[in-house]
Amino acid sequence: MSDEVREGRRTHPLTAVVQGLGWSVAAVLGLVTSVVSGGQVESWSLIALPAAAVGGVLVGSLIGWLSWRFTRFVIDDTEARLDSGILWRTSRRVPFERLQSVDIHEPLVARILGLAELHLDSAGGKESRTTVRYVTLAEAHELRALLLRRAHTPGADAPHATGHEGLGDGTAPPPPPGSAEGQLIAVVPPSRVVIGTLLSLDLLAAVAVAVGAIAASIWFEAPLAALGGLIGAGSWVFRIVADRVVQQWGYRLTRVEHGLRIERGLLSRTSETVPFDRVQGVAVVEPLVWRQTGWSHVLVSVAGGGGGGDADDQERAATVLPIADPELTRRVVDLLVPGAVHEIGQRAPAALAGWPFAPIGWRFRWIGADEVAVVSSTGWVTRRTSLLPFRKSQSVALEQGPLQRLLGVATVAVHSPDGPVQVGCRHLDRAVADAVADDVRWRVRSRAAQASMRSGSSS
Amino acid sequence: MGDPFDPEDTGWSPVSPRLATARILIGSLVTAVLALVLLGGLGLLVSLASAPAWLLAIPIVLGAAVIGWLCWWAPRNRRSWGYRETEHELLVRHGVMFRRLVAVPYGRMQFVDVEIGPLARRLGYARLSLHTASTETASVVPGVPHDEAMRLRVQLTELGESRGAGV
Repeated sequence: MSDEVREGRRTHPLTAVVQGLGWSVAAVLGLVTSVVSGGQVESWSLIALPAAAVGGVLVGSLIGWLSWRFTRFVIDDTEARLDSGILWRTSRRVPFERLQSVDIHEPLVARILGLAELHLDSAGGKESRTTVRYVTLAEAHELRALLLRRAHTPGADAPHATGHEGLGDGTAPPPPPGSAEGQLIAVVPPSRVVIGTLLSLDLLAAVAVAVGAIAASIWFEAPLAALGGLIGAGSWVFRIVADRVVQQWGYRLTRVEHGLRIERGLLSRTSETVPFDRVQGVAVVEPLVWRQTGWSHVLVSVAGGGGGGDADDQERAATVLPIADPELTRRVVDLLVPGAVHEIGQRAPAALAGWPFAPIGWRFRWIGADEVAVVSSTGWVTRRTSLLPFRKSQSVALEQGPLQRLLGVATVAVHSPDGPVQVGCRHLDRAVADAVADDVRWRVRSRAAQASMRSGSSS
Repeated sequence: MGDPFDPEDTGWSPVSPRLATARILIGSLVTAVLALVLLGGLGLLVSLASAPAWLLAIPIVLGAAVIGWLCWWAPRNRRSWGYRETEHELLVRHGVMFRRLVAVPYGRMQFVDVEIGPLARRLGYARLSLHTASTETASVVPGVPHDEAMRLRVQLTELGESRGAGV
């Protein structure tokens, strides 16, 4: 297999068909929207629609076949390379040192045909993603295993590589030896995901809006108003269900050699890896209704993962556990931030004097630190607890506006790369804010000093 | 450390007074242009549509008020800027109404920019920006005297490399 790979293997021939189908769907949709907006269903459209569908498949498949002929995927000793392009040749190279993770994604159409695509992410995150479309699912798993092996142990080609050294500086311990595919941590059953979504406030709000629209239309005898409200609320509900239920269906969390592997998806299936050393922080989100049953939702900030897509996309992309009970949450947080304490004893709460800024919320804000991370919590409808390990924190800021000065409060923020993890506390008592900022800075310094001593003595 | 915003604390390096000069100059220029445009518009109204003549006083009064405020605000703001190099971090503070203090560890600095615009070049100062892996750091020091900015850039880059713990 390695010889074939060196020479440059082709992606699967059915790639062309998948792309063709994509084209035909686009063509049909385009035709349908133009007919609908035109307002009249002419007789020619009855012929035009199937013609567009078939034509789209043919044209798309032809173009797909041509580009398939010119596409090669090579894995050699130092890099992975994707050569493509009919007229303009493009060669995307991913050197193994820069390869961060390899994800397997099965879009719906490809999945039906048994194909998958490979996403190779390097240091830039999603922006620098190289996609190999399409290979069979079994091939995708083989290629992923091969790439990750080459990436983490340069020069190793043996399929039975053993003897993983653990990194002793606070990263998580290696998986138990003999586990080929990693250690299963959790399977989140679809029923749990569905119940969790049904119990979420925004779904309930969307349903309330829809019901309200219907009720108003009956009361005011204006059925068109109901239609508008229903379409709006309906698309909102649809979006929530798509994001939370369809995307998180069949959720499996596995611990693999350098991170956590997440498999999820009902229609298109994704298998992605969150490498431990790219995790910048962890956020545990507990919405109001879920707090009654102790459920929470765990997200991470990943280096290179911020930016691209809107806030919802980012939140979904960063989800490690869509819904989990307290014990599972604790286990996963332990894996991601080893050494973090679960109940911080020494907490600095937001000051009573700051109540004008958040009359109810001020009571629920605090910031604290343990040996490895700074932790803060905020929010009373949705409680969000953020953990930022000291070795990932960037700068520390102390801010005070004129109204805050009047009330004797100030805000502390500990900066980290963009993502769902935001650590800081607003409207702390001024003296407390100074003390917290000094404390965090001191802890970051001493961690850095320890780390450099350790690396100095071991090198 | 005491009160980090204490104006009497001498440990903080100030920025060049020319920063205030530049801000007043540019601000006044922009205000004057806007006032003239407004004046012209109102003048047309007065002469053609016989609006009351006192309208013409509005842009003049407003313009003078803005320039006056600028002359008061710019030196005050300039004095509030300060930076301090400690053993492990660079501290930057600024602001009179909205105060901010940022501590950036040397090991977290990814790169240091020095920007010099045409007016800044004449007046002999530069704008230093620090970048970390977080976009919230937003640590910028305007009005640093030229040589000092160059020295800082070299120093910070070296410290960043030697202490770099990475992300």
